[in-house]
Amino acid sequence: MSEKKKFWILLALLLISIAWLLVARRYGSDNLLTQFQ
Amino acid sequence: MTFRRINNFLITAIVAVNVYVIALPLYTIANFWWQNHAQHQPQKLAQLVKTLPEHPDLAQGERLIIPSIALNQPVVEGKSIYTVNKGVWHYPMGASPGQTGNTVFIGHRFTYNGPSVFAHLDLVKRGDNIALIWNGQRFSYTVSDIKIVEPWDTSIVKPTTDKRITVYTCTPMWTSKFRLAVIAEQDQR
Repeated sequence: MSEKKKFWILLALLLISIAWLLVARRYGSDNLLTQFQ
Repeated sequence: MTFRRINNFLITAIVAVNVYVIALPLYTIANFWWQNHAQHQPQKLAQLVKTLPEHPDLAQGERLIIPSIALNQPVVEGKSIYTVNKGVWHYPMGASPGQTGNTVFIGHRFTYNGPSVFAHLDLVKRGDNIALIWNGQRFSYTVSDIKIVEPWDTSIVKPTTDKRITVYTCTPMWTSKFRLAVIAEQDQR
C-alpha cells in the first residue's frame, strides 16, 4: 500500500478517535450539575 | 519520505487518544485497588486521622478524609457550579463545618473533565468515620444514613437543625441517573 493511501486511512482513524474521545468526555462523564441547572 | 513521517505521527496520535479514553476509567479502579491492597491506605488514614490537625503534611488547607475508602482530598471553594470539576466542592449555599446546619460536599463519581474524587463513595457504610480539617481544626463525623435520590431532588442540600455533613455524587458508576448521598452526624466531643 502506498504511503499516501496509508496517510488517508490513518487520518480517518485519528478523526474517529477524536470523535470517540469527545463522546467519552460528554457521555462517559457523570453530569452532577443537573441539580443546579 | 514526508508521508512516512506524517504517518508515524498519526499512528502515535491515534494510540495516545485511544489509550487515554480506555486507561482513565481503568486507572480509577486500579488506583483504588492499589491504595487498599498494596498501600493499606484505609488503616493508615484511620491512624493519621487521630493525629490531625497537628500532622505536618495535612495541617494546612481544608481536607475531607474518609479512611474506609482511602479518600484524602483537598476541598475546593467557589461560587460557580463548575468548581465541582476541580475536586471536592464545598457547596457555598450550605453551612460550614462546626456550624449548625447541613455542610454539603459534592464531587464527581467519574469524569474525563477533572478528578473523579468520589469513585468509590458507594462503599461507605453506616458507622464509618469521616474527618474534616477546617481552619486548622479537626471535625469528626459518623455516617448515619445513605440515600439514593433522583437527580432533581434538592432535599439532600437543604438546611438542617443539627450539625451534619452530606457528601454526594452520581450513581450508578458511569451514569448520572441518581444521586448517592452519604449523611454523617458530627460526633459529640
